[in-house]
Amino acid sequence: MSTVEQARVILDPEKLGLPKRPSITGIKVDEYFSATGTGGQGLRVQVILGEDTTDDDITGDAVIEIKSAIRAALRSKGIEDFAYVFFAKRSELESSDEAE
Amino acid sequence: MYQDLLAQAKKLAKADARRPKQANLRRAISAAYYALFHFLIDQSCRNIIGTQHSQAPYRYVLGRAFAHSTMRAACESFSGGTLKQGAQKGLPPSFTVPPEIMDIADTFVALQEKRHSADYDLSERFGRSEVLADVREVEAVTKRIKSLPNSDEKKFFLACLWAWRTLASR
Repeated sequence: MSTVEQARVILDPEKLGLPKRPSITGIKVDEYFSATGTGGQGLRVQVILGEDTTDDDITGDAVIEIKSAIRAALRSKGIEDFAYVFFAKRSELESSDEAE
Repeated sequence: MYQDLLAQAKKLAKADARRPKQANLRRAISAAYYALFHFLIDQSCRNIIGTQHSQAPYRYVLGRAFAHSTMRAACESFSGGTLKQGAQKGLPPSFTVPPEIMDIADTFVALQEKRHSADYDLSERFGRSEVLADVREVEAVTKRIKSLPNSDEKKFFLACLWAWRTLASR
């Protein structure tokens, strides 16, 4: 099983003990390709937020808590690749292809 | 400086209530990254030179010696909680990286990458939730580091932001 496939199994939002807000409806994992060319192996972890998420739900403390939980879960299973974590509602992901 | 950059990032992240413009979101990411970059340099220079107002010119001159790539390399190591052998050698066996330092190091690495995409990669699109998460994360990690007691681990991390390349290659 590849690292990405392992990470997909590990990062089950139901098992990570994530904060209640913002609500998280899914976590998608892919290989990360460095924008700068300086990064080593990495994982692109897309946290999908519920559509009911308000701007006020996205607090710094919650973001840190979510990222820490992801990082700890990966390390506990021996995955040391850097996790680049992204946050978006599904509607934002779907509209991201639209031209401005 | 970093407070002003963070305020600018917050303003840009919340601009355009109905449909956020990519230009504003991209500039918000860049401002958030530079807020963190200057915060870490300031903290490190205060650690090395001192915190007195009269010492500011020395801090500002020393601050010019910090390099994005060196800071990133240090942060990659500290964010993992275990340092490279060259840096770890000789440290007390009880040495551990405090979680607040792991968090800010992780934020720095991730945001440096994102800043690069925001400034140069037009194929990458950003949403408001993404940008708000970045800006608020920077605000939170800087607050946590400021309130973290000035332990040897903290002072060592701040010094490594400057000295990492040489130290890690020994």
